[in-house]
Amino acid sequence: MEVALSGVTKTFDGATALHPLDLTITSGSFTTLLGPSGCGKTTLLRLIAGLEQPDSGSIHIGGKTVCDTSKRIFLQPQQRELGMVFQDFALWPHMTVYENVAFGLKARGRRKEVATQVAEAIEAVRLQGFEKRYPHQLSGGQQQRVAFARSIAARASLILFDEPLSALDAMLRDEMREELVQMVRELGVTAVYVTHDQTEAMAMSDTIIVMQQGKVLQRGEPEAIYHTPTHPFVAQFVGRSNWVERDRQMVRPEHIRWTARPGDRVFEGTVSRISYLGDRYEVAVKLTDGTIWTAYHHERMAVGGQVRLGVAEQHIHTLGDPARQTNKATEGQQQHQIREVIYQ
Amino acid sequence: MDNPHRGGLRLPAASWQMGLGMLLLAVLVLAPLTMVLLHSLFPDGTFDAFAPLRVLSDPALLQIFWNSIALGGWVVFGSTLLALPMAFLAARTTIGRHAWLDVVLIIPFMTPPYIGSMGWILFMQRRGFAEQLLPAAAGLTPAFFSLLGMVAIMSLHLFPFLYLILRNALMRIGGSLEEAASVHGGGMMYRLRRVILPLLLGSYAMGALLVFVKTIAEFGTPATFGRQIGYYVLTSEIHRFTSSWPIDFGKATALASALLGACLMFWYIQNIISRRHQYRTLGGKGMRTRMVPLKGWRAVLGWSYTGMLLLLAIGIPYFSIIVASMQKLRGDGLAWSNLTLAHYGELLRPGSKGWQALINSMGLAALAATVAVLIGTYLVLQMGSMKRLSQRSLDMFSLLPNTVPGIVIVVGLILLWNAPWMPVSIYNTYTMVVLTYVVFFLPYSVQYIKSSAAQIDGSLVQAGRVFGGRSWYVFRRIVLPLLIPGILAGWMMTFTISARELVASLMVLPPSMQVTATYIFSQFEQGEVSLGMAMAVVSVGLTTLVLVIMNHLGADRK
Repeated sequence: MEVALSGVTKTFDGATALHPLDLTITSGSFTTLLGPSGCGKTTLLRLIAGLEQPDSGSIHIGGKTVCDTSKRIFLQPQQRELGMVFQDFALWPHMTVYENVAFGLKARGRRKEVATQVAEAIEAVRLQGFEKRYPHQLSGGQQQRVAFARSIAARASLILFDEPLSALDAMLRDEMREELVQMVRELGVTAVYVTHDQTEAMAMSDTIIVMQQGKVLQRGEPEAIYHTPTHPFVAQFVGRSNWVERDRQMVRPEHIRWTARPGDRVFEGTVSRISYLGDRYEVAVKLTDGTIWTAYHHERMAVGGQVRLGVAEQHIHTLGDPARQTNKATEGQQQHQIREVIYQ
Repeated sequence: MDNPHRGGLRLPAASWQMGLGMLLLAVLVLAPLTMVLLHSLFPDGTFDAFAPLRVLSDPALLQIFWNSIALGGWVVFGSTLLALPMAFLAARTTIGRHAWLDVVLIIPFMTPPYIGSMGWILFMQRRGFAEQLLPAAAGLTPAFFSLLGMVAIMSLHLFPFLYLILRNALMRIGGSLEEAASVHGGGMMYRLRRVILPLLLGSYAMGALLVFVKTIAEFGTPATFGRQIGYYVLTSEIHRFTSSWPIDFGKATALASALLGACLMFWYIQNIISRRHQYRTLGGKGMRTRMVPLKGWRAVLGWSYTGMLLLLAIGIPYFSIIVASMQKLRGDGLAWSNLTLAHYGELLRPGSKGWQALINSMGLAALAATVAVLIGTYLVLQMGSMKRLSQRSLDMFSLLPNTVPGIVIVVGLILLWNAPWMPVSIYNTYTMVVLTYVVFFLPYSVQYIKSSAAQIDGSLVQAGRVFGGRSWYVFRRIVLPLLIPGILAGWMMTFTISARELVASLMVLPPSMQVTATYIFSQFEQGEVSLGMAMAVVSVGLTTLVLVIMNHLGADRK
């Protein structure tokens, strides 16, 4: 199910939530809308769901026009054949797990399919035996699974996720993250996922769309977003960035060497702060020009010590310069490292 | 609030303090109620388990019992009709953005019911204001002075209660629960049937039962309007049996027991229902409600409904009271030339009967409020973490007077303090009135102070200890200052409602002493209606002023 938005805008009581936006989400992809709170990502998701009406523009889902302000078309949410997982799960407290999951089918009058498809959905989230329970009798992770089962039971081919993991604690979140991606991939559905958590976005998505203040700043694969940000905000919001030249040239901490090799650019500074992260030390270095950089080291260093940092020219990324691409082979290797780094 | 932790408030655990709290409640609250029950079981000094039933087997008294129940049922129906559309409008449409509506809609509930009834009587009676404004309205008068009118007056008084409960429930459901239903294919009617109504049911049942209990416990309207139309209910009959000849305390206590039993039973049912059908529908963050913008004929419809409701619930009664309080001669009807402020002058003239009543009310209310918050604070401190049974029962008994109809408490207090064996003779004194007010309104103090106490995290007190404070010092410098807002709110609330309490004043005031409520009541029944209504305006005005000040102080603290 391809989702296409064109010229979509939205304001709330005069405050612009979305600037004119054109966006296509490829069928079968896992696309994440990433950004700080108030960036318009949730508004965008709710526009796709039909929970908000755009001020202007059109939205097509799977080739069908669900909204077009110029033609005065607006399909209600219940006419759009979607699944959605809400931030607070929004399970109906007066219905059992079974009834919650069956809702979408019953509401659409597809009674014949209820028994088999609900069973399938419950099996997919491994909650067999819990059908008769009420939401308050389930743990957070189980509630999350019910919410997911409900969104897939009617076999919608587009599922929207509104920060679904933010209500869970850290341990459970990691577990559910992997589970969710796996289930989405198995079903082959199109997923649009909203989060403010860059780790989540990196780990789960095929495509990340970074938003800020109602605008899309950059879209691309997680690797591209991390290595070749095109906007200073993206560079700062995703991963840690060290500015070689403020808002123009940056280098990631894992590319900083403590002993410069020939050909490296050299930066001098003093160690200003050390934090121990378990597998390494995160070291803040104050450069001579006052910029603070972050780098990683495998052993504790003395605060106040003088250091000379080396960075290979190829690791210095110039923003707004997508032409510069790193070698594909080394990138693959780096991706692996990066994912490891990010997971920690 | 997964964390009910509110520890750290306890004074050093010593059982005599808890014991004192228990003793206070036993004397203040439990003993009077026990007296009512005992008295109805020992009608002639000998035990008779069936005595209350025998009294109710008297067809006349049974009829009174059913009158109460029927009235309760009709008022629930009436307030539902009034409250449900308003709750939908406020929770789901742009009308709800007008915050002033919430304040205004509380006014009927804050108006003492006897004053509201008097306003309606003045408006609808023969040659009343309705007829003067629109002569054709005379045809309505006989229809209004019937059970219908009584139900209308009481519904207009009690609907805000149901409205608030329903609106809050609707707003909570309005968030993602309903959105989830629409995303997953539910059309409007389907959502209403499968999601909204079932979720609303628990709250509705709770609100409806509260309205029912409040109706059958209500004294003001039956004593004014009910008496005029000859519709007698438990409360008005209990009053008659205890205050006018022939006095029959046996029948009064039997009816009081029946009333007490009915109220407790309905509270119990309400408890069960709310436990079973009350869902935690309050989501975390990200709560949004879709407000339907009202345009065109829908806006007209919505606003006309709101306007009509405000007109009936506030406009008419207040119009009647204010105009009546300013009329030179009641016979001369509505005319600018017939208006005067002379009645207010008479009322506020030091030395007049009205002035005396006003001073009495203020003095009694201030004293009662002070005693109530002192006892309330002490009790709340003893409740501590509410983990132990003794602490929970302290909480329960201190809130009991809220559950029990006022008139039952008064009968019990009279039986207790007027008993031949009672060594302390406070009956027929000023002290007795203060005591009655304190028992009546203790729950308000306890609730306000308790909610302040609940906000004091245990760690604040622990921190006080860690930094070397002795328990008295910690109490004085940490706990008490944090409790002050609750204590203040409790004081003001108790003051406000004590100052206009009718039933307690009617029954326990020493002879020849009057307070505002009894003054209004007696002037309305057999005196100068204008003076009575002027007092009503002053009384409501003063207490409103106190509430406004309280709100203002509350706003400052945030």
